Amino acid sequence: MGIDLAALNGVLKPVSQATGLPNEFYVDQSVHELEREKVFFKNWAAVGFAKDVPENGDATPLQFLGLPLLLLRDRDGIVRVFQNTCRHRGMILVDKPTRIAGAIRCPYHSWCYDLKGDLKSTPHVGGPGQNIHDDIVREDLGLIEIRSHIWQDVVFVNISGDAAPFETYAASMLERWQDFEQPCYFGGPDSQFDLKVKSNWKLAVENFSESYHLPWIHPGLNAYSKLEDHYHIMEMGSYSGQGTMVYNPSLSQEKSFSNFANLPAKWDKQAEYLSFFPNVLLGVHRDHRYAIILVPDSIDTTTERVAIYYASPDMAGADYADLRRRNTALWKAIFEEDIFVVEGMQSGRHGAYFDGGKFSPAMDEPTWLFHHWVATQMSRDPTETVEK
Amino acid sequence: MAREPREREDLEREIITAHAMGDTHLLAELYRRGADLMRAQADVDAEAFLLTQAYVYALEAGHCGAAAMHRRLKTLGREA
Repeated sequence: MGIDLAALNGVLKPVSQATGLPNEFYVDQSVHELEREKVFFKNWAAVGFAKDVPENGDATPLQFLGLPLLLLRDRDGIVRVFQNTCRHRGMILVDKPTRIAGAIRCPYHSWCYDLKGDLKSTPHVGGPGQNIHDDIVREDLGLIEIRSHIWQDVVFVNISGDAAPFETYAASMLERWQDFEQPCYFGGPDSQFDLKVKSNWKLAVENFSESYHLPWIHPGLNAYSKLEDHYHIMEMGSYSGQGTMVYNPSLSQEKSFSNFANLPAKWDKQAEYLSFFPNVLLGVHRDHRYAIILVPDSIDTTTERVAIYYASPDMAGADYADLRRRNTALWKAIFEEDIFVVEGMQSGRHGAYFDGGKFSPAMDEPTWLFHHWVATQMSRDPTETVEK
Repeated sequence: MAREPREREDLEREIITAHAMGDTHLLAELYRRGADLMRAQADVDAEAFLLTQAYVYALEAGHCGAAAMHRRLKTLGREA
């Protein structure tokens, strides 16, 4: 099928006249593969959390749209991302989370790399017991390091290597949430969970970006945070989402989490939720924040990796474990309420006469803005460097 | 002289067991012992082969003897 450029022109119209992304973007493997290059590899996409490798020497393999990656923390505590492929015969180097005591040894012919990716040993490469050869230049054969950036514990990668620096790419988001640009502390094992959904990753972004569905899908949430208490958040080319004016956590009568430091008064009641394009969903509240990394396992399956962070080490400690568990349970219940929606929309995309859908100009603008961004990426010249 | 074949056989058995256990630290030490045996027999190629094995597992395990093994291989002209 491929991409229907005329249909993309429809997506690029103003919201009142636009149609949504056509079905191919959800069900056609060739479009998914193009999206891999143009949407994920050309931009800064999230692939994991730094907390996944908490100690120096920790390494964990990742599959990102078929690309084998290795996330590790080196001896200096620096989190790095490498292609998880030996420079010799292309063997996968690390196949399960592990703590590397010394070097990364390829399990095939035992070429060894240090944690900065340098090739340290090429055993028997010049014959038995001869470990050097004139044609094997170790300096040229280190692991391929993937351009990466850690922000608020989220590990972003730019696979193509030519996106603008992360600080530029994310500038408008960083500015919007500069009040929260301070240390955050992962709540630990009780503050993370994964949800596997039978849906294209974009439907999770779309659902997260808008508040229109709240009264219908989250009636419990809507009981205190009504539709009229929410506002749209839109930044063309970067993010979209929604905020609430009535954030008022009530997990416990006796105890509450401490707030992030020096927040302006507006955050007493406000909380915001952004889809930062392409694949990370973020929430900030005065007393905690969360990130959801959407891992596109295939065109129609997605893993939502959720991690919750707090304002101080104390909040991540044992004294607050019960409160954290309640907070995690609250968010998990809300995100689970969304599963049938994103899965239902995925099934609906097989309806051959669906035309991408008609947006509500009043309520769907954040969703349209995401569609507009995807359509813009997909219609871009592949040789063009990303500028933000 | 009769002791050496027995020692080699025992060592080979220990090496196979260590491989089965995936004990890289022990493999580094066992292969080094093998390299030492070969040095005693002035078999440089066999020494270098076994010392290479020892060095690789020492690198992987973060074994404290890795640097010394590297120096020894360099002295033999087998390592950069």
